[in-house]
Amino acid sequence: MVASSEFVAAAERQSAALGLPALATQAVYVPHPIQDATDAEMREKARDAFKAIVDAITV
Amino acid sequence: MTATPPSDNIDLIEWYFERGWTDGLPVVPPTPEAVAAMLESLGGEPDHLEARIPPRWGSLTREVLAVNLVLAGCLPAYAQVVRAAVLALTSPHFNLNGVQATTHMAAPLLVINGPIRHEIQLNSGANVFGSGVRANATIGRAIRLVLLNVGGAWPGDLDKSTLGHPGKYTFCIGENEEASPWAPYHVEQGYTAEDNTVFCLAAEGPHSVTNHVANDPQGILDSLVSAMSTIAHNNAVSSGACAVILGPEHASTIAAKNWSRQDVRRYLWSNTTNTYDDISFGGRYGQIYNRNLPKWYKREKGARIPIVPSPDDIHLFVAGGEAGRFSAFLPGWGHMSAPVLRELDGRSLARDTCIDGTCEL
Repeated sequence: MVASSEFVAAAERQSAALGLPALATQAVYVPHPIQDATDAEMREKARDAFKAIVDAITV
Repeated sequence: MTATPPSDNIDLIEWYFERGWTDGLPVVPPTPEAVAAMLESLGGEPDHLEARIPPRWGSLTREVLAVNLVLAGCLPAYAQVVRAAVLALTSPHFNLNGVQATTHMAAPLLVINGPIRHEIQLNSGANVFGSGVRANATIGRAIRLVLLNVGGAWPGDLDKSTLGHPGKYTFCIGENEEASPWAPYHVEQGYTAEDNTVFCLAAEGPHSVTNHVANDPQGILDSLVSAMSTIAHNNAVSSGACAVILGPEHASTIAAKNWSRQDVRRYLWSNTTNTYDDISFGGRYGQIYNRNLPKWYKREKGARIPIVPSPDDIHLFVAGGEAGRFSAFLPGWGHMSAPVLRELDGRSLARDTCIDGTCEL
């Protein structure tokens, strides 16, 4: 799961409610906000998060 | 969420505030007698699971529903309306999880049709979105208490709405079938006039539409078109569905020229558009935002984009007082949630549109 940093607490609570607390702890959070980011800013966020995402989805 | 107060001398209203079981207003203490009466109206079987309420996915048993009905101040006669609304809201098409958690301000709007409006004295006339009538106030409030207490959608916690709107306290109206020149909404959708239905839409608050001058459909509807043709509401960028509430005076003027509901919807749909240039800000902020727009938008300078996919996605009701030349537009959240129409006894004749198809996956 990839989300912005504003949603850490919400992710933790909902994953706990679903009985899957690891979902939140294994998630990758990128700096908020997303929606007004420029193309260049989005690419930077993606580059910065890339390794963490690969680590999260590989054993 | 059942608990016994620590002593008989406790201030119950303050005790419920301390436990966080309110919407911010005082609640009615759910005594065993009151809960039992409500439970009977729901059909008994206290452990029967009615639904699980996201985003916390709490279990809404019939007993928990009864408790929340009492907390809200409902009469037992309202119980089946609230139950039907909860079941509609938890239909996969509605995507209650998203509605509860979004940063958008959407709240579930309920519109009730059928004879039940009279039986419970639900307001469909003057000040229909306003205060003053127990059925409207407490049915909508019961829904909110379920969404809070069972769904866990506490503001800033699992409810991430930036602003919210006053409909998050209560948002329940009846269609004014008696003042409407047309068949009731639910009859148009395939039910009989004797059926009772609840319609649910994730909606922004009502935007007033004034027109005191026009004596024909085009003039009145052009005022609505003006209110609806803006890039600021969620339909403009996320499409989906919306609601239009025609005041009885406007509806009568329109119908006097032999316009049907469908004529009204088609006129509104075909004339309510935004240009792609406006929606995309002329590409000023790059292409990433544009990719989030619905795929079917024509990405071309000068293209005119309707705010919803079809005339049927404009849900048209007649409601309000019989004096006054006002109507209202209620934008929806977008294609992420589809409206649901449900008969109180559970019969589903109407289409449950899955606008983006994700519910079929």
